[in-house]
Amino acid sequence: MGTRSGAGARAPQSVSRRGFLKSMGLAAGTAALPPFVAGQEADGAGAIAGLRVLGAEAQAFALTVNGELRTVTAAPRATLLDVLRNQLGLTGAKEACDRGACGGCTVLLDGVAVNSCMTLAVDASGREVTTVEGLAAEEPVEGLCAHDGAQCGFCIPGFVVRGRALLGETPRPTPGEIRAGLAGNLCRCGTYTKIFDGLLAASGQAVAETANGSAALENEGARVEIREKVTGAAKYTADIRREGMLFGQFVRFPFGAGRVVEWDVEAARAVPGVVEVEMYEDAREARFVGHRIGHVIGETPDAVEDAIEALAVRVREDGSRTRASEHHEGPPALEGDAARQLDEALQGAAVIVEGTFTTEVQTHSCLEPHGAVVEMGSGRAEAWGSTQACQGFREGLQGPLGLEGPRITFHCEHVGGGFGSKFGPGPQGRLAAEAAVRLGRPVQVMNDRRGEHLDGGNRPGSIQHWRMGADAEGRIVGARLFAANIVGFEAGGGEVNLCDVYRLGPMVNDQVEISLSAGLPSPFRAPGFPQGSFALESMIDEIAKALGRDPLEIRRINATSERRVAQLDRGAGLIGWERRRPDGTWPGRVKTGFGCGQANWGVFGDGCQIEVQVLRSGRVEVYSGAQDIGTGCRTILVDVTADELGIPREGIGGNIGVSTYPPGPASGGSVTSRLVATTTRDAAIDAKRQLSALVAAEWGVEPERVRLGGGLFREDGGTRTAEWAAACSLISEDRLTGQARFDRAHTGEGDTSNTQFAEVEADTETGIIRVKRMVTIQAGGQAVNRLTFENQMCGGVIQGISFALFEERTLDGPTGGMLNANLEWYKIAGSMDIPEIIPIIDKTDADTGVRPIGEPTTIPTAAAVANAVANALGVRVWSLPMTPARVLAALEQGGRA
Amino acid sequence: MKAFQYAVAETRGAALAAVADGWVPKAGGVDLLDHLKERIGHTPRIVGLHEIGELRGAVEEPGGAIRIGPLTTLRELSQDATIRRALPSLAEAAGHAATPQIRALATVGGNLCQRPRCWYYRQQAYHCLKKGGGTCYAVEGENQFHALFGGGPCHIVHPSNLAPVLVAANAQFELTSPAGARVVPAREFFVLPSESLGAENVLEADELMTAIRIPMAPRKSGYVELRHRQSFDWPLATCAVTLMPEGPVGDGAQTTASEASPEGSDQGGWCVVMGAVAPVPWRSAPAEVVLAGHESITAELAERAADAALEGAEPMSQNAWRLRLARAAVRRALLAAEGLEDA
Repeated sequence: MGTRSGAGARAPQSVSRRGFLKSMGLAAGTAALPPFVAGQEADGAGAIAGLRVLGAEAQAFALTVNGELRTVTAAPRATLLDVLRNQLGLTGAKEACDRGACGGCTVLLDGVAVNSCMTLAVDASGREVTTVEGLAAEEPVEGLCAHDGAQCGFCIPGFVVRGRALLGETPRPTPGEIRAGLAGNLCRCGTYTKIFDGLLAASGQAVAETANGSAALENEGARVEIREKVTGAAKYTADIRREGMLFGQFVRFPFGAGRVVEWDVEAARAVPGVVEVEMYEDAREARFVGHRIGHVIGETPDAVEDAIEALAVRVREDGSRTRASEHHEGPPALEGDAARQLDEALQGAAVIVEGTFTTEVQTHSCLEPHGAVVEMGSGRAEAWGSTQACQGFREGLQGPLGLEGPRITFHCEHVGGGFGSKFGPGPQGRLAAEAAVRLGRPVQVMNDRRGEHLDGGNRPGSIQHWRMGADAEGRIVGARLFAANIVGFEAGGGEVNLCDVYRLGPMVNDQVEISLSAGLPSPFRAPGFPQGSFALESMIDEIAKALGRDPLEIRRINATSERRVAQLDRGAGLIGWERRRPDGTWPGRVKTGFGCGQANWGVFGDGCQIEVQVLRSGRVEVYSGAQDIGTGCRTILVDVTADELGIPREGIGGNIGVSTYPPGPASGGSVTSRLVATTTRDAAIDAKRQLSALVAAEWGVEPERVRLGGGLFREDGGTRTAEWAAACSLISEDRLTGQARFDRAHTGEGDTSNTQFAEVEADTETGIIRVKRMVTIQAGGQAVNRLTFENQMCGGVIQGISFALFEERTLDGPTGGMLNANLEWYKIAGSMDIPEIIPIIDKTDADTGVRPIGEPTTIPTAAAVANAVANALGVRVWSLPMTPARVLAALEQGGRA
Repeated sequence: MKAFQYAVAETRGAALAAVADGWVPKAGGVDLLDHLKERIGHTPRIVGLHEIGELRGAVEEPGGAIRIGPLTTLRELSQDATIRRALPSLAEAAGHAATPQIRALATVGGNLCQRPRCWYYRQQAYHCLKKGGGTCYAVEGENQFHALFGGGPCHIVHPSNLAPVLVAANAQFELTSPAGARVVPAREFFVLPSESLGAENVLEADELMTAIRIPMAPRKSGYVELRHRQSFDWPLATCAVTLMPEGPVGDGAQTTASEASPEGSDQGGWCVVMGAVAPVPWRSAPAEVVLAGHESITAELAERAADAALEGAEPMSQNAWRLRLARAAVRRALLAAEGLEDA
């Protein structure tokens, strides 16, 4: 039973930590092993009775998949996931972590849920394999479809398969059993709440209703593409398979900084199935862990990996910058006007509180990696990219392809998470394009999980020194922030941002950056804000503590908006704020605490075109070249059109993510919903106007006298009516097209305020924090779809909890290697870490326009959790994530910053 | 994944012959595939054991001993009625390991023989001591999850969460080669890096684990696993405790420290084994000394035993905080064994 690998058998060699050659390829510096052993004869094969020797080569064998007997040809090393996706075209099972940590690849093997990425395909021969595609008629499919159990949707097929097994084992699972049963599936968007609801419904149990019954235009239906996502039919860039497609991958520097000493290109080129190997001379001096020092393109991902190993790259680690604290000198003394102003302001303070906060680097960890597929045609190209900016991605491909935009047909109909990190084509898209041109074959380049952590963007870390004064009534009179932002190997991307939710008086805000030998930051859902919110909201609570006041009173006194004061009152009632005890006084070792945080967001963005096509059949198709990063862009097209035309949403199609559609905005800054909703309504109005004109002509009346309501055309002041379908049959050509361009004047009224409350349990013996309940109250103007709105709110909270408790990039201090570049040691919140979440859509009659919610809904979560932890413990944890190590240290130090 | 020659053993005999011939055994394959994907280790020939039904399942032998086939999956173990009755802490440990999907693949034997999860060992770029290199990178590097006890020159913690339970229950492992079988007590199976750098146990290259035997069910048992993340995560500390029969126990019996052997008694009484804190399941003689002579655990006794369990700890530069978790795991496991609510 021993998996005794032979590493220990090699002769020990002397390697000191710095300055010496370090091996990257296995063969370097060790007894040379053939990198690829296929083709060798198995020693002693056939000599052992009862031993069925399969060898190493590709071979045909039978697999029973979804009840059908299929013949596949694969080497023994091929995983079941590889064969399902690359030979059988069953791409519902996803490769996200490739190590059994995320569950995206889950299939049933003889009815038992397993990770297909950790199962050899040959071992599945003779057994019943069931993939998500084989479960379309089984629960929990309907449950998840009814309850909007998907955002980006990339992870959802894995949840469906595991959910199927769970319902088989436990037909009526409790909420706790559902969480435990799904503990092997990760969702980065934070859809857990709706997945739990879907499983409850699928098992015939009641799902608690939210308080948002009629807050939205559409209050019953889920996102329009929910079934495609739940059944695994939705195709992401990672799922695209083209005839003759090649796979590309970068060779990466394994340490923080240093020199690439040597490599063996010939050995790599000799690996069967390898098409192109290139090492980059200009990357000899590597500057960050994950630095792209070359690339390999081959017929299969395995061939590419074999070649990277055969390269036997030798590197010298030297001069890695890995620990921010070693490069941080603290806040400089204030001088001049700024110093005088702050001094004057703080003179009126009854209390002055100070603290130093730190937050760690957080990687986006999109479950679909960054990547692209590019295929050249004659004077044309077709491309697929995993992106939140279809237009920008296509523009970025023009140079590498040498083609003008319209000659590139670009697709991104589904994207497996972006969170701010997926705009242009990036290195993956550029390599795919250049290689497709060079090699004349379709090329797919997707980051592997390690590359995704190293080089897929991140939220920079921060060290924040705060000083804040308040008068005896609790009014804040002045504040000072000095922030050092922990960024990548080049300057840029680091900033702590603050929501304008409290009057802070005169404020001095200086920021610098600390560069480490690591990947560059990229925008991450509310860039700079969660880290700023954590510190600001903590300071508010420290002011309250210093004055002996309730933290909510301090928020009310300093509030910049009555809307948020009302949210405070409502949230306090929902969380049970009256149960909150003075700091640290909850009895027992495990202490309950309550905390609060608030946020808002700006309203900006421009540029969006929409077409609403009304077909003669009465069917309506709405088109936008925008993409859906999981927020429900298609659903906005459909539900706004349905609302404007008064026809059922089932008769309307939402079409996005293709470059031939009218240009849409990039999804950054939470702009998409507002731009798309506003423009869709205008385009629907245009279509309605044209259709009304046809009806008016038919009736021989002035167009102004034709009114459409509830799907019925009426003559104003007359008796004539026409059903929707009858009116559409008047269209003389194939269709009529309503068009609109975004008009700022049509965006209506709305607010973006968010208030959150957390209830936590803090174990003072172990330092382990568990979030028990969260209340999130989000204004968003006129909500379009209740379920997608709630789903996104809960997702914001879940990402915030993950940031508050778990996420931390770990660089090796001496060498700068990233030690947790996987989904095993880089921890994102899983099902058992998800509290009960109460999402409240804060909608008033004055709210008429669609407003952004994606970012404000995640900003104050970590702050609310941190304040709840401080209340429970009686000491503050000044650093995120609040790991057991940090919590125990805070208890030991008595909470001093 | 790295390429390899593959064969499937149709019988126990074939598996033994193949392993003796140098084929690397694959049970559930979870740990082995991890190695192949990371391209660490040398496994050119792999033999799949999954067709050998006789090495799967748990049975109660006449006389009450329990015999577990090493190919029993963690999922099966956690649901097995015999195990749940006789050694519920083993079922609990199996039911909490990894993820539901991994538990459906991973086997008992694989769990016991898996290689360390040390994040230097698991990266090809770090040619560490365990891989034949000259450095334990954890010493100067990031060692928050490394050994608190028994480390050096390599500082891994043993990753198996079943192992402490089996050590506490005084299980025996049957190791078989073509030359025959030997029985090694769980308490002697795991070895420190100071004794053996390349392997974490005494399994020889030509041997296969063919049975896990629990001769006597403990009179009481408890298991606690403390994790940072409640979903899939490697524990920060675990503890398995048992009260074994036929020991020098009895109401009011006084046992002095000098009567308890430093290695701990194999004759009975309380056995305290910590997991995820040392390169092997770490049996705490000092804690057992505190408990010796006591039939029942009280809150106060659990506190004293938990304090004693930390004796001899040698924390590294970044991991002393985990002593608090180790202590908590010991205290809580003792309370759990007694069925006491934590205050």
